[in-house]
Amino acid sequence: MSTQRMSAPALAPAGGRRHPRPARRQRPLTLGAVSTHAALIIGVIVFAFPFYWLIVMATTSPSAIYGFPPRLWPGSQFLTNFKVVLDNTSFGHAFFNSVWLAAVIALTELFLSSLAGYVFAKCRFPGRNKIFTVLLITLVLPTGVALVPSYQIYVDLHWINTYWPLIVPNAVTAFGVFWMRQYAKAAIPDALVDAAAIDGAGFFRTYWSIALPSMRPALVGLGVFQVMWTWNSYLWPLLVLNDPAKYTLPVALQQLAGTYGTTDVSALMAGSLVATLPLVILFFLLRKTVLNNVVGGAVKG
Amino acid sequence: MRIRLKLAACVSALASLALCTAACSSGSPSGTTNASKPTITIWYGAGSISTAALTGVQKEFPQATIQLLKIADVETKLTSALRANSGIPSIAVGIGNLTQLEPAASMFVDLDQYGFKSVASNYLAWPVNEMQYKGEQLGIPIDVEPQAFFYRADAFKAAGLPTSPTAVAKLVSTWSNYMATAKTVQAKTGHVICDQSYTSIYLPMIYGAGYDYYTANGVYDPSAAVNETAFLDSYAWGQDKLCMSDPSQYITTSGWNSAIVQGDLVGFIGPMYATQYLTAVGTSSAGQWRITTPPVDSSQPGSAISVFKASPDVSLSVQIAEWMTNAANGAQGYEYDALFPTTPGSYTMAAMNQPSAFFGGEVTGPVLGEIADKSVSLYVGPNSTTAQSGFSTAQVYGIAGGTSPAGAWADGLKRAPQA
Repeated sequence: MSTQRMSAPALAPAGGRRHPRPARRQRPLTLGAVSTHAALIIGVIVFAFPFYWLIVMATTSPSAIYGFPPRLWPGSQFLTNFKVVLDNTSFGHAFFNSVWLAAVIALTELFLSSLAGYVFAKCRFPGRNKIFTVLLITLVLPTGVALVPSYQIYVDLHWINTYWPLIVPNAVTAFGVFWMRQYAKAAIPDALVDAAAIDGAGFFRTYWSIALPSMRPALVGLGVFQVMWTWNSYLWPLLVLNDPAKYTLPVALQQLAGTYGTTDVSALMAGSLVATLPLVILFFLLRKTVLNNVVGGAVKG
Repeated sequence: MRIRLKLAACVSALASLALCTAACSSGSPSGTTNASKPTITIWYGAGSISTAALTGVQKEFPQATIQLLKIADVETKLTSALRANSGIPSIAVGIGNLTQLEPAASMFVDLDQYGFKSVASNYLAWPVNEMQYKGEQLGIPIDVEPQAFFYRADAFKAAGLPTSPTAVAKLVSTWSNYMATAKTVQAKTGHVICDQSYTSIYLPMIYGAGYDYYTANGVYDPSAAVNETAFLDSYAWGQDKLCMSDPSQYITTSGWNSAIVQGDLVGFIGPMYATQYLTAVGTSSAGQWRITTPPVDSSQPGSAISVFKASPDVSLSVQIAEWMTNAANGAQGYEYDALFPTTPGSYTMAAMNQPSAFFGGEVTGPVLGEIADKSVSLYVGPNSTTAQSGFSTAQVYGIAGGTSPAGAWADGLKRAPQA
């Protein structure tokens, strides 16, 4: 996108003449437009306020939070609050662990889900639809049902207190396969796959050079979601990781909670704020692709 | 293109191998023994035991390698580990509800078999008794939560009432006196000295009677007369609007914190851990708060330290557990970690007899010690938590919705597990 913008002047006709910029048409101010914008502004405030409140809480003291009238502007105690987090948790380790785990899990999931999605969308083999249906059924099983059996499996494999129980079950998920299959079905023309075969491309070459680039928007969308899920996951990492040096961010932040639920709310919010920032940055960097993909998925699905 | 593809495949394979090595090599057993020293793994939660015990344990037991692991949620992890019979620590610190783990009782060490009986008299008898299951001592009580009457001296003064802890103790020496005082404070200042009828009145009433939904013989009895009386008496407080206007607010909720900060809540009966919340949010009223004895002496159960058979050296682990909960560490825990010790020997130590600036220079340790000492044993059974939740919901919903006392009581009986 940015390359196109930068090269645009070079495409201007010789002699410095440029195409005149079309005049922006002023839309008449209608009651409908005003009410739509008013509703949207209210919606933005409602959805953005919790995040703003997180910033206020992270930068003030607990007594300021609960005062009346409530403090609505950020304070200056962020560093003090964040120091409590650093003193009482393995925050640095946990941040690093969350980053690399989210990256590894997302990359593995994208590779395997796109491969499986491509196969379900474009390869014909006996039982394809039945296998896909079975796969979809696993989507409706509640996560809690599998918790204890999964734990037992990883105990038997001697994988407790390692990262394997976090990586392996998420390496490929039913949702990821479903997501990629739906996109591949609509985005990759059969004729293109056939043409690649005629040109001598094998299965993996076709997947790598034809299918994967075509699925890029879906990959970005799924990648963002997968990073988000891994980043926020709490219960499963809590159960399988014992060593505080291996904790991920949500588990590390829970270390701030005392035996009787006593928690330094401001410190917890300061930690949560820092923990949330990578996700916010990621979303802003990729928001256009994600939003286009979500809308596209809705139309294509 | 083909070369690039192969290169990518090689890089992926190497990365996977590196990952395998990293992830696999990080597994470690919970307790191991080498030729010279056993490794004793201790799981503990934040604020679950005296910091002095944690920092001093390795020095005290040089014959073992002590591995201290700060666990985010000890009970959840312990439940999983016991269920899978794997990854069990040598010692777990901060078990809040031992009865939930009783199905795995066979994995706990009976501490009496390793000499705990000889030191049991160093601890309050009632919490020690609460940690027995089928005659076996499954845990050592770390702390208890004596329920005191917290009040603001300035509010009592404004209401024309005496302000010293001794005088206020007389003012609230019975439930009817407490109610009369609450009415006076409310009439003169507009503020309340009861946060929630359930936590400030009902729980002290039933705990003071030694009842936690079971008879002393361990029979589950939610419809006991003591429960009905406590429920209906406390319900009257809510109906008469003598507690906070939102009946769902209690210690730990944001409404409670706001009421403290804004000065609407100027007194309540609560467990010792309320001090941590008070000192965190009540900075503007620091120096005004006081602690005294409530109408009835009662304590909420605290948390336990347990030793497991998975320990590579059970006898040493029991010694470690006893040392971590001894009187000296208990007193340090009171001074620095807001944990009330179960060892009466701590109560006379200097660490528990320091004046508290937040409580206007009052020496609070002996007041709480007296309450803890006079508290009675509770039989805490598997239904205790669920029953408490049922009656709590019935009372909160009933008061908020204007239900009659009899209707709310019937609702509580319906919500509690059936006998």
